[in-house]
Amino acid sequence: MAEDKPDTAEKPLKCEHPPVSRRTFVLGHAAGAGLLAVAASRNSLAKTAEFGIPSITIPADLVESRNAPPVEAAFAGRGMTGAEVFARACRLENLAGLFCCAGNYDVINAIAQEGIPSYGGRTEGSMCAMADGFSRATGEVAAASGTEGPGFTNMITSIAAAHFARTPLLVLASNMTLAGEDREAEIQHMYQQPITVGIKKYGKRLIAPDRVHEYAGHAFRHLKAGIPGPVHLDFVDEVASARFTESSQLKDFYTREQYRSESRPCAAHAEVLRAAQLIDKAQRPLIVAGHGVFQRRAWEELRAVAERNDVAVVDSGPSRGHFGDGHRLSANMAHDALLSADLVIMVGQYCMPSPGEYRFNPDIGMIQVSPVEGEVGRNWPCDLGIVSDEKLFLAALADVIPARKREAWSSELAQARSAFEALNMDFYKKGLAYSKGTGVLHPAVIGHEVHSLLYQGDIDPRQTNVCTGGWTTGLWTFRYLRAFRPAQEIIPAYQYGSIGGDIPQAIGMATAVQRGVGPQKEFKGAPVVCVTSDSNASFGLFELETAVKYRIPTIVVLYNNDCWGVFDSAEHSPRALHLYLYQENLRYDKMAEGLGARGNYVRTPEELRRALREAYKAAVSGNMSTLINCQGKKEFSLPGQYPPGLPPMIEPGRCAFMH
Amino acid sequence: MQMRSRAITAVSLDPVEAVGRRLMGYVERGVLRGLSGAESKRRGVRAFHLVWFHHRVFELRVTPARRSICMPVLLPGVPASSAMYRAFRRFQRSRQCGDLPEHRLIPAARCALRSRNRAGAVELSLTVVDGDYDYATAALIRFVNEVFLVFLRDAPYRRYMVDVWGLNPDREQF
Repeated sequence: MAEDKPDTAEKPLKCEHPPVSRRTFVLGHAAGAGLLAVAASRNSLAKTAEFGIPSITIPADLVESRNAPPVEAAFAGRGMTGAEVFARACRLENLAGLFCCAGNYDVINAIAQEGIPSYGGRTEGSMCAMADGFSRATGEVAAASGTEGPGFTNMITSIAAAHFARTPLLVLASNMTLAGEDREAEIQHMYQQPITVGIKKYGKRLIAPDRVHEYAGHAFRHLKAGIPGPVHLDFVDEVASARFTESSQLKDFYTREQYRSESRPCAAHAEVLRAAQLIDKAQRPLIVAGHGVFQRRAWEELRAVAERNDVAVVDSGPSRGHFGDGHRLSANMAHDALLSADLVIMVGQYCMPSPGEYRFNPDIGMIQVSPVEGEVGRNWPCDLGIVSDEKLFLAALADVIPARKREAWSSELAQARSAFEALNMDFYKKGLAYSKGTGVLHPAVIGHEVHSLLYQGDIDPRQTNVCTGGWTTGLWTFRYLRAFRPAQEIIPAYQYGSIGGDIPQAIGMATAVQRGVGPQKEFKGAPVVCVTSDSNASFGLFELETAVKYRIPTIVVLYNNDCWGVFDSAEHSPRALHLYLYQENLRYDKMAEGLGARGNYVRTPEELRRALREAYKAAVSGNMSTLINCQGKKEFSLPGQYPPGLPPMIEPGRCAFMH
Repeated sequence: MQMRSRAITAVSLDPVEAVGRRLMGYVERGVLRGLSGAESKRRGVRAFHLVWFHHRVFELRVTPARRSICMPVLLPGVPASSAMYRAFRRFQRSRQCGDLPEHRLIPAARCALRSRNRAGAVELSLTVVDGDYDYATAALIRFVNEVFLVFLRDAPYRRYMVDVWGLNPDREQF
């Protein structure tokens, strides 16, 4: 994976600079027009240093460590440990990255030594979310690791989020000895596998040292076949530290070509023809291009089908952009037209909604395409169920579907998209008036300003990866973000709706962009923008330090409304309201500065606009991360005071995060 | 795919049977999660009970003598004087003579949609103008589908859904 080597490939979007401290970096670049404002910003780290307090510094040890050459373990000589056998198998399977905290030492050290890009952070839960974000942005397998007891339990929420997003996430968590587990010897014993029941695709506690390679095969077979999902392996110390001097000491020591296959299920020709007939017969067909279309990188085949027969398409799943918001047949923002569709073709929609959850008419016909037989017909009865790999099905369909133009349908889609944009503009104008009236920022203004910067200025609209989350923030910002290419956007809250994954998943995505992995290759090195909430920051903010230390440019736009967004649940319970409230005017920008990132505090659209531009420049020119604290107020969510309170949430399409 | 079983359920079918068949079709499509048989009421009224949105039971009455299909309590807790009720009436009109594409409209020549407010509950009724109960049932189901997927979601009725329908706030309008 030549594309994955850190800090060596050309990075056209950023200025190269030596790994120096932030203080010298800021001062050294202060003469540059783009960063004048950075050095001058309030409480900059340069200013802090004037008082004799040492500035935040990326240590030379860290840089040297990252640049150290990989060392591939070998049976010859001292032999290989169980951890090294496993790490070697991971390398041969092109494991794309490891995101971990200290613990599970033998395994994480072996994986890093093998040359697999590895990242250490602050909390296991967030690092697991980071691995998930990386995978959502690339479709590649990523690993997360923590120590056996508390490190592992810290990861549970993120494992669950990955499970419901069908992420091929390899969860590793180990440390202690099998011999000591029922004696409570020392600390941190945890029998892990029962805890991940229901949130993993496959799991195993490895207790036989000579089967470690065999279980690596099991893991990758599950990670790379069918519908993906987390695989959870825990190594007892007897396995991780076992030593092998010959491959014959290992059972089932097969190559990956022997222990798994790249063969995929393929629809029968008659089934593809039947699907083509139904689509051609329909007046207003619509493809829901789910997770499987992204996972199988079937976007070219999808486009061929859609354009040949003028079939509308909605992107779906935790990664967005495999069809793209800008296409004339995109229904991502054509909410008004969804009810007109008379046939839906769900392709690789792993998280199936039930009728009534999508904005479809009750007479709509249904074709479902899934790579797994047991998923066909789940939740939503289908008129035609097809078991097939998504890429193979779409390629076969493109070959047989008749060429056809549907002027009325594409015109209806265009009108619906215009209505969506007009509504967004209406929301923005309302939000602007509210912002001027209150002196703080309405979330529609935040969405609009981010939209203006990323899609309407001099930045290529296809360049910047985005994600959003949080209750109030997500509902508002989904409307304003765009995805024009595969995985330009990820949806951290997809299906599981956990709070806390936004920032670490954005950093995971930024890691992929920084390295140009898979679909992120075209805009390698570009910044990532994450629009999130104060509640979300409670869980993931500390990983900004991880972004800074690895120089992964992440811009966090944080809507600070001083509360949990669902505070209005206590409308009729006055004594419960305090359960939802924080202190007002907390300074998340200061926290970010304390972690080595840039911080901005904004209350007006003009301040936000300026801060966004400065943050983007700092990200592009210096790989700097920034948190922009947008002060708002909770009452903006109340429709009685600031209509509409919250915007409509419609599925499928641009605003969808449940299915 | 709309109205595709129309050929099977001809206009000449008994009205209650035609309505029942069409509703059963929606059960088979997963739209309705449950359906009772037609219960006889006074004055020739027959009542079906539908398990539908939010797993709630909706009553649907058929009165052949008056060519009427009616849902007596479509939306509870909507006072007649409320802005929400006025908005509902506008929404209803928009589905018969609005700017929607033709395939989305319910033609008044075939079915006449009416609503009224009875003690704070929105009652919806539909007159089967052309005698095609199959089509009329589909039109009614389609309209109610849009009430829940469009009317209640696009406007700020989240509190209404929480307070009156008892939905969990985390579920938004679902």
